[in-house]
Amino acid sequence: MIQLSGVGYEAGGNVVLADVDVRFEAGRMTALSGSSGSGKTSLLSVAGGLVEPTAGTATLDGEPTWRGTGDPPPDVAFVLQVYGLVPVLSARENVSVALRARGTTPVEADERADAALAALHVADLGDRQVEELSGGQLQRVAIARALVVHARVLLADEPTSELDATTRGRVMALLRAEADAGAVVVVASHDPDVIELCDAHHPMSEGRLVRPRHRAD
Amino acid sequence: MRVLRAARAYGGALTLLAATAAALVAAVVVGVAATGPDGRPATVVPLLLLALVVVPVPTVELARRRRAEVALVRVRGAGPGRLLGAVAGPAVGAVLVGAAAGAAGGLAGASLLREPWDLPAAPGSSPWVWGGVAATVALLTALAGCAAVAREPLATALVRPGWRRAPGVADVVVGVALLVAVAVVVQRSRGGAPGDGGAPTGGDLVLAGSAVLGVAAGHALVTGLRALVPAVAADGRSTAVLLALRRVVAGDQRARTRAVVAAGVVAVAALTAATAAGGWADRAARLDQGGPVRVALADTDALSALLLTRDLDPEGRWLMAAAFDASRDEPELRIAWLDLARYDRVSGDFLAGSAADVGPETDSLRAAPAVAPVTGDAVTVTRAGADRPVTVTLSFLTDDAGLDTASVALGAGEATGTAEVSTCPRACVVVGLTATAPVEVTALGLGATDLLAAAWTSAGTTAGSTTGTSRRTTDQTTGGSLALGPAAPLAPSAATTAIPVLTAGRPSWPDAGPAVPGIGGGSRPATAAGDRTALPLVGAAGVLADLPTALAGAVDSVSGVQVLVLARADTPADVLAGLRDAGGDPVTFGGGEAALEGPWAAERHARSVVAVGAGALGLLVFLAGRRRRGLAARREHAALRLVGVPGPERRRADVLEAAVLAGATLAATAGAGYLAAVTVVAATPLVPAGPARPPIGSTVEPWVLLLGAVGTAVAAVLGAALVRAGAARRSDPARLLEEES
Repeated sequence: MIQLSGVGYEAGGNVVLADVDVRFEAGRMTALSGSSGSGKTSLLSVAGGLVEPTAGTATLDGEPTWRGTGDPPPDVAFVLQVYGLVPVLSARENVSVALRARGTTPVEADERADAALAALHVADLGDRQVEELSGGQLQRVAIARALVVHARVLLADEPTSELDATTRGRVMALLRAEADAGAVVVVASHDPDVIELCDAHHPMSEGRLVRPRHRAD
Repeated sequence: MRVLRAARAYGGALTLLAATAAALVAAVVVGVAATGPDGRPATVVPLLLLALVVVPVPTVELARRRRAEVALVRVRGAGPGRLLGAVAGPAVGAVLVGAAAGAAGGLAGASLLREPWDLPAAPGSSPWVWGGVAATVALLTALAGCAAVAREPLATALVRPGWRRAPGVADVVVGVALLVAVAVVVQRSRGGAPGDGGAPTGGDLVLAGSAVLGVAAGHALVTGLRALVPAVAADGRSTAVLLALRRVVAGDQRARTRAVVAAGVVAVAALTAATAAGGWADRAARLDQGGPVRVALADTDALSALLLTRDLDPEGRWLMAAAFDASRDEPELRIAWLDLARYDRVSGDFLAGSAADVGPETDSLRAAPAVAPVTGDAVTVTRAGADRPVTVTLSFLTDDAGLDTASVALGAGEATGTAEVSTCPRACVVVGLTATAPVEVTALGLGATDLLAAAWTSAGTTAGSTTGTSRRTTDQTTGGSLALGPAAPLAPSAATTAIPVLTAGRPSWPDAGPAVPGIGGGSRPATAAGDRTALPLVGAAGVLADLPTALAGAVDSVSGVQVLVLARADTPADVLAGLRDAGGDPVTFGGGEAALEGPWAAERHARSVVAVGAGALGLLVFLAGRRRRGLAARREHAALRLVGVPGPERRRADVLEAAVLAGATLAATAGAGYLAAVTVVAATPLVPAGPARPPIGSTVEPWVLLLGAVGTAVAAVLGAALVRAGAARRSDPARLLEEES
């Protein structure tokens, strides 16, 4: 479970997040929505330990997610809006390297990477360097990289923004499977269909949670 | 206006493109100016070919920065003219400004080098013409690079700053074309090598060979590494190895590696040629010089020079008498004589290791009888029988180069007679014996020397006869007496014995057998003791003989013979003073450049400029896009941190990347550089060496290879280090949240 208590975050003199109190439960998919600049990405960053909150605390099962370096805890996987892939690596290698970093042998890592790419219908792109791929393809590779490690926390920032409806459904199904397996899954999205598929929804505005809403409880 | 706006927005990229054009044009202008009015301007062709792979690097870097801007112009539906201006305007402006700066810099450089390199005051139009060609090549190459931007899918150009087209058929076509070009270059290189001192026959096409080999080597290296990556990845190597290899073969890096290896190979080839020209000059000058110190004795004959060295240096520690006749072109008529008993001591070190080092052959060259100087104040003759008057005349060469005679008149009943000699107090050389009537001489002495102890032979043809005929030699000493008469003059056998010689340049001997000019004129039978590619004093065409052997019986030094004394560098001052007293002016060897004039120096200078130009272009390649690549490196580190790749693994990847780059570029440059040196440079049209000069070969100097290869590797590693420096420290994964720039 990720708990944010009284979280505030300022960047460049601007208040990005203010007084955020929210809990992301394991086994549930939570949606964050809001207009651009509302603070969704920053909230995910604080929750995942990428940035240090200027006020309040963010914890994962009671431990602060901020580890003092900017590196996320090993149990956290991200899908970034800008993908955050390694341009020089192939699609398979980008996925595989996340597994290798967690101690999986290279051979097994590659096999699992192929399976993850296949699950998103991009298995044929495994050998292509990611700088040769289109936006939608990049997004699917980034999702595959996050899914393949089966992290306890999966934070996805606009994971379906460049996908067609069919693929979007496929992605949401895979995220649901992660949640069903006990992971904390948080999805920031503008897409009402995506929000609809989540168990909880937290709209945001100007760095604050507007009103928490839970479904399927 | 667009150019000015671009200059403000893309200053770094434009500056680098302009600097590349400037370096290219400046090197071409100075290089062509250095070849001189009679040189080969095409020497700079490798730089022009190198431009084809170097100029695209900063051009593409600029184009990448301007992709979105150009895409917007396309979105607005600009016509072809406006689109061309938008795509190519800034690049063309940068190239033109750079070319102008390069031309000015080249002019200034040529002006600065005019005095030390002895360049003509007015270089003529050639440097400008070739500078214009270089600027045009840069311009067209830049335009081609810009065109790639205009061909990108519009949607991609607008939204994907980092998008790169996958390598496709073009790569294969380039590879095949390079393979064919390399085959043509190697074939043409084998077709013609520089002649022995004559005009080279390799053809100007071969001049481009080093650049072709360099580009091909860079392409092969990149292709090979790319082929290696999947195998390494499948082999399950560590993440660091995978990352390092992937970075090395990344699209961005490939063009740089290809260009820097090409530049390294061109530099190695040019430096090899420059070194060959410089080394040749040194070797040729050493052949001319003969020894560390050379003293010409204008008014002295060879015998006197020999005696002078024996007087000044009785133990043979510093001085060696020499003479040579290089007044004719035919190898068999160009001849040098050295007092070879002193060769090892005087010239051994000076010529050691050169083709002209004759140290091992001195003993065989001294196998024939040598001149035996004698002294005395009277000639004594004793005959068998005394029935009628006879006058016996002894001819001898005095130490002042005069031919003198001493006649002993024996009256009827006189068996022994004596004649005073006043011109032989120091040394004389007996050259002949005649009598006015048949007589059997039973004793013959000059001073204390028994002249019958030496062998005598019929003089046959007299000295001074036509060159090319040889004397008939018959031993006339029988039973300790000599039979002679008016029709049978005698000469010391040493004067007519075949003289051993070393040859160079394959002389054409007469049908009667080998014969060489005598030092006193005429000719002398010879035996060839060996053939060399070069000999001291005469160079690559001529004959070398022992001076004391040649002086035996020689009555004079012919006018074409130059008489010398060669001396060691450590010859005492008082010994040199003795040579000065004899009319000599000691000249110390100051190196080939100081001793020789001619087109070789222009060749060396031009090749050096090409090497420096290639090096500069290679360095500029790695500066292109440094800021953008630095940002990309940070984002890459951030992405790796995001998925949990630990710091030590990432640092190991950085080190491995540098190591792979260094090793690969070093090996490719050294390999292709060696190939260029032994094939292309060996057949490259170096300047004609001149008659009787040893050919200007291309020896592969290990230090040149090492310098070029290490320089290339250092440039490659520096380029990577500049990009990676600090990337790991400033790579918080949160940076990935910012929009790509």
